[in-house]
Amino acid sequence: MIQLLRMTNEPLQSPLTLVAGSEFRFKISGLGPDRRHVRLVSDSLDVQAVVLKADDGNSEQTLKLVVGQRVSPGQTVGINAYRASNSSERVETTPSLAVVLQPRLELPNKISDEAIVVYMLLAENNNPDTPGYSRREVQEAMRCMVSVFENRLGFGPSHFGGDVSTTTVKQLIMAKGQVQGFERWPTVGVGQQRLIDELLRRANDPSDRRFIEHRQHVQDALDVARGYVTGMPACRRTDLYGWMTGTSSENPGRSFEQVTVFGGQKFYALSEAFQRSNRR
Amino acid sequence: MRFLETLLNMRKLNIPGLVMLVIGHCGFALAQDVVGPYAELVQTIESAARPMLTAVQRNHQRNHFCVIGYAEDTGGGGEAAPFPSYFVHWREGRQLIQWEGVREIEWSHEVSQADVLTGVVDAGLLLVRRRNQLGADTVETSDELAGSTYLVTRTWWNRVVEDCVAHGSSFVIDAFDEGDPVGYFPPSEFHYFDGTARYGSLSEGLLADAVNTLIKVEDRRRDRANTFCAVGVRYREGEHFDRLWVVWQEEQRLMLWNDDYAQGGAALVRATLDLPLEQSPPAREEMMAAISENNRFGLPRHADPVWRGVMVEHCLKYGETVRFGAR
Repeated sequence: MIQLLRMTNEPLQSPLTLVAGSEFRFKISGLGPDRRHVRLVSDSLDVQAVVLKADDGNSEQTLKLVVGQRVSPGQTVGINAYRASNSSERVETTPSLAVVLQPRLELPNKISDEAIVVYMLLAENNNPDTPGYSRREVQEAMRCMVSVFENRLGFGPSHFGGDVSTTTVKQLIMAKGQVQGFERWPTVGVGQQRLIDELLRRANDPSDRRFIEHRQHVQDALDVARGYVTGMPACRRTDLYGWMTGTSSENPGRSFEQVTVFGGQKFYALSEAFQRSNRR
Repeated sequence: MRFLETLLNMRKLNIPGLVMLVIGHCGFALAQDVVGPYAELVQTIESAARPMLTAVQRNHQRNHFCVIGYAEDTGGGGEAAPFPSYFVHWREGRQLIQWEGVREIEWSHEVSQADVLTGVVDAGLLLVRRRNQLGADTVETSDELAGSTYLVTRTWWNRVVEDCVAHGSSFVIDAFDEGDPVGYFPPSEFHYFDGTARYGSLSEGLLADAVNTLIKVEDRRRDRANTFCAVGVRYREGEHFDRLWVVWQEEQRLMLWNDDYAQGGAALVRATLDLPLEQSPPAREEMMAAISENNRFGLPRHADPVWRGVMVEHCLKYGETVRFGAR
């Protein structure tokens, strides 16, 4: 039986998602009926199978799939095995591999209004590497963060580091001392930029152990920032006005009361007394 | 009354927690439950501290760290299991860093400032969401917080550090530069762990056992001669032990001895790294697979084929080479 294996020797499952411009290394264990290594052929020029190491004395060969720079999202390419000695004869004992192609995920240009929100959501939220990560919770936390800034605009930005000229979410995110690393946007703090770069790299690296999860995570941040996620987030009901990154900290001021903890953040409302005396 | 309420609300009651509580009401500590022990965690965090120190170029000095954990009430509504909040105090950096577990990343030029290609490191202290530097990320009064998502008061910052001193675990990392070893030595000069045992040599002792076990396990290599070279590398003066590399010449493999004492004679069968000496860098997945679960030291330079060639040269020059006949 011929097997397709990841470099870690785990079985390579079909379909396999690959990203435009990426390479993916894998192995084939077992020889064809002619006791030679089978030859993999792609049915599209968008994916090429390249042999890296194949010695007929060793039943294992190493190959890589090379994906073109431009692909149609969702396009599926078939990879099949043929006899080395007869290029028209399929080796049916080798499983076919379906490769689904996706474009590279890119963050929006920093000139756009949504960019600062996407960057902020990626820097602030738990990600698939965080213990206890829950995609549903983090997606919800992202929406609540956006709500926090909208609520602040409605209540009065001057209570949250802004002033009378503050009229946008972007200005509130950039307000002094509000979100770590974002005061000097479009320059982002070194630590935050390093984290964001790593998340994006993983979202485009099919060989990464959590490639799909990282891809979903970055896509969630893009979707939330663009308002593509519909339905009422749970936090709307509680009128959230703040959060603390991470779960252990003091309140972000005496006027704040902790409401809930999820997605790796503590979320806060304004105390009723503060709201009564300061609502405009 | 407030004392009693706090006592009843504590999610996990233990002795350090009670001590903390009493101290807390004297105005010194956080009204949260300190969790521990940290022995295993400290080891993991220490391995994550080195890449961070290298990245911020503070590895040429002695650095002091302390780890403290707090049990957290997740407040309901969350589906994830409660996870204690751990803070790492880095004294020289004047930072409190929230520890959220191991993050394995590809090592790069940007991170290492060294001439390396790729590798895998634990970036658990580098890629963090929360890092509070005393002064830059603290304020004097809670009124100045103004809804910040990250600022804390200096008082809170100091309380965590005090908690850490009283109830956490501390460790020190001496100055290091893994890129410039202080010397290469034959394995017989290396003490093994606490100095009570030695690697021995390729002809006898633990190292000989490990090489013979390796040949035995890889059965098809037994019917021909096999040549091995072993060299110890010391990164700091005065250290008994750092790393032991073994070159299998016929197989063109470079192996890093698995320094987990439980491996014994299987230390090369379960080598921490097993690298081909080919002139192209291995894929990231290959690197990941090569690094054993038991050793999370990333060792980024090992991904560099030029580095591997240099290591072989050092082995032949300073190490010990033995040819084993066919069995």
